[in-house]
Amino acid sequence: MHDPPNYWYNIVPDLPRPLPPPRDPEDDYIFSRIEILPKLFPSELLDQEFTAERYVQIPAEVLDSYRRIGRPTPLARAVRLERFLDTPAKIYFKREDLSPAGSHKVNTALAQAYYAKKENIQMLTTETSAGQWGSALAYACAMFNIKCLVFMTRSSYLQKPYRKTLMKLYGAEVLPSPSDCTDVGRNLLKERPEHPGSLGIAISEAVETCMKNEGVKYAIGSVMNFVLLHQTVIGLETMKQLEEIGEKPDIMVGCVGGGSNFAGFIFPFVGKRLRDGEFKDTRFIGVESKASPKMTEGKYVYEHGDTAGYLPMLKMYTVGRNYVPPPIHAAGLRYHAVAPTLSLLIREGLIETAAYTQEEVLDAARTFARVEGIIPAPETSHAIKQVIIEAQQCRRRNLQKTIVFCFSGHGLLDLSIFEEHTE
Amino acid sequence: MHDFLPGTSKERVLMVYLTAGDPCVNGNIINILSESGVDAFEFGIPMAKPKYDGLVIKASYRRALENGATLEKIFQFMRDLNLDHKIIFTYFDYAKNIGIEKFMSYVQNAGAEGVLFPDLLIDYLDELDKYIEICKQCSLEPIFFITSSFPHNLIIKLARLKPAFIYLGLMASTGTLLPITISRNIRIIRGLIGDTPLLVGFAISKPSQIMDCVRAGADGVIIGSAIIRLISQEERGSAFRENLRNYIISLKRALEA
Repeated sequence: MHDPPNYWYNIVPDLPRPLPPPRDPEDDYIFSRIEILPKLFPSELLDQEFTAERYVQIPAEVLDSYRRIGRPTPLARAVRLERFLDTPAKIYFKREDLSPAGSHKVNTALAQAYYAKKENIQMLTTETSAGQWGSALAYACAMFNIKCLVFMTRSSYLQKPYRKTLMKLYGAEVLPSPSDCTDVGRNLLKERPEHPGSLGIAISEAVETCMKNEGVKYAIGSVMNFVLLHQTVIGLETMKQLEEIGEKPDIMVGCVGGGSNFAGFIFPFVGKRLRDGEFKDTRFIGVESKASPKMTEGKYVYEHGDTAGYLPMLKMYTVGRNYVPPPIHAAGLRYHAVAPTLSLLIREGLIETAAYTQEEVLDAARTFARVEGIIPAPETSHAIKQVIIEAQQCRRRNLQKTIVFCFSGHGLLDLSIFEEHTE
Repeated sequence: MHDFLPGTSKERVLMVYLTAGDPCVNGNIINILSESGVDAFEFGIPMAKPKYDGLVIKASYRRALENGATLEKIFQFMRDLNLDHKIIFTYFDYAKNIGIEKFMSYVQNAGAEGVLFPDLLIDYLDELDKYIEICKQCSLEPIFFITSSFPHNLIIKLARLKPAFIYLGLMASTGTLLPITISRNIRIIRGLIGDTPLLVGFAISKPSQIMDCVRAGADGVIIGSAIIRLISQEERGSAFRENLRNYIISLKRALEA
């Protein structure tokens, strides 16, 4: 495969039942979160959010930017892991870690920066905690020559200096949140000057910045349909790459925070299954952290996409936006809900789910690092844990299954986790 | 109901949504609207917790409830109106609480031709057959509400059920304009439903939007928040009636252009 696909795949028209629309809180007669969406997001992204099209063309400039980050990314075979596990299963993994910022997040960051630039937006702002999303957006803004302002939770800002450095190297302004640049931040700092911050506060600061400044829009790393749409470039490439080597996936695995890498990875396959029955025996497994078990223990209800409640309510599996997960290293998996389309498919029984603790997945990460020589992000390690379990199952039953997983990001900027847990 | 819909009549349809029981909705206003060219009316039943309504219609519900609107009064009001074509808009949740059969018989008695439940296919897809069955029993026309996020297979199936019309909600909530390419979405839906009558609504207020909708394949439009905004102004001024009349005429003209 020499070139990335020239369209994204929208699963919405193929879902087994209608996707519940975004909603405002029923009893709020004053403020509509749906009404402010155009203040927050570039127009073309909102258009994609509600499109009835099955295929959305990727603009030439975005396609070029995808080529620049190395798309199509390789589909590698984990031969040494297969041997190490002594399994008859074949294990493939999609290398989303190879992008300059180190994860799949850049697939949507580039699209969001492109549309922002096209609409003459001067600056994109966002929040980040682990830093994967912030780094991807900083990179994308650099590529499309627009300003980037990242509110980084103060605790991460202090504990993850290299992420901050990376974003700054790309030219982004990085502020510890709460900051003194917004009303929300100033009020909190007045009460507590060393406030550690939270993702919810950082989102509130980014949203306030958009609302108060013309030419500034908000960028979002998961959950919205358009984010998942952009990520389908992963699955579309994987499908073609598997075809080229004559493989059919029996099991597909990905980690789930908001669900964007997993959805982007499997939706093209799920869509074919829904349309014409292909891949009907493929198992799709989403793996979450036990620290935020929305898929395995959450409820399927309307909830705000953000902790602050500035965004409309979406129908999702969620542990509730006020749920405070324990501090884990896979911060990307601490999110409180799963994207609406993915939630609907889980509800309909098309997708299996699993949850693991941090200790369980770190062992899997160590194994992978030693035998394959690639350091997975703590988030990605959740998928690896599941893959190892499936491969061992295959050994026990002597099954020659083809397992494919999304290697969503590398862990080279999260090494402290291994230090703490290796000693 | 088919008699005012495309394919069987000369004109495209201009439908207006009003909240029943809202004090600014009265016989006078309805007469002006009818005389200026409104073909059909959709009456909403006010409720405290609407799912898909924007701020304008929410405020209208509130006025109606504060004005002491009850289901009995609303149906009486509808019975008294001398209108050719009227339908009811309410949530399936609400009708379920009353009992679907009972609710639909009230609708029939009020002289309405059908009920549009915007949440039927979203939250109660399994009750689709039941809805159609009860429509038949009560001599009401089935009407389906869909959005651009509906599965294409389901939309095709709905068209085969021969509804009076399919109502495409163009935006995420009533009266709330988002930068969505509505002509593209209408064209795609039209491609799925053949010549099933298609009315579109949500945040339509301008003649230019109506022209876009019709060009893309809509057979008519439903205007709600824009009219309610006009008729609920506290200071109506002397030119109010004339302005309302001219506004409807401009919409009608766009529809037939």
